[in-house]
Amino acid sequence: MELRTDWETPDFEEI
Amino acid sequence: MPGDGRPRLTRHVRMRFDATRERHVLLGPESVIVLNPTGADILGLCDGRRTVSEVATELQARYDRVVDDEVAAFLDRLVTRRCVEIDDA
Repeated sequence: MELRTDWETPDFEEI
Repeated sequence: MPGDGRPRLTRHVRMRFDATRERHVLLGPESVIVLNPTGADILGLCDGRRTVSEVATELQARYDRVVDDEVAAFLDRLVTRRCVEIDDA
């Protein structure tokens, strides 16, 4: 059984 | 953003894993950008050879679902910050 990661909206934080 | 454009990091930006934050970061000349895991996965595939559509297709093997519009919007934001450039097909 193949486990796939839950999709999370791609994002970033600029420092 | 056209699906047949080929995204890649701009020359002055490098992606590194920040062990302190346990996140991938983009290091630019005057800023650090902290990526969430999905964002890091996307940029890991942006080598200037794959198209945006091909990047999204490859992600489908790793994720339960992939929202193409979110991939394109994420890359658009990084293009605006001059961290990513899109080569024409």
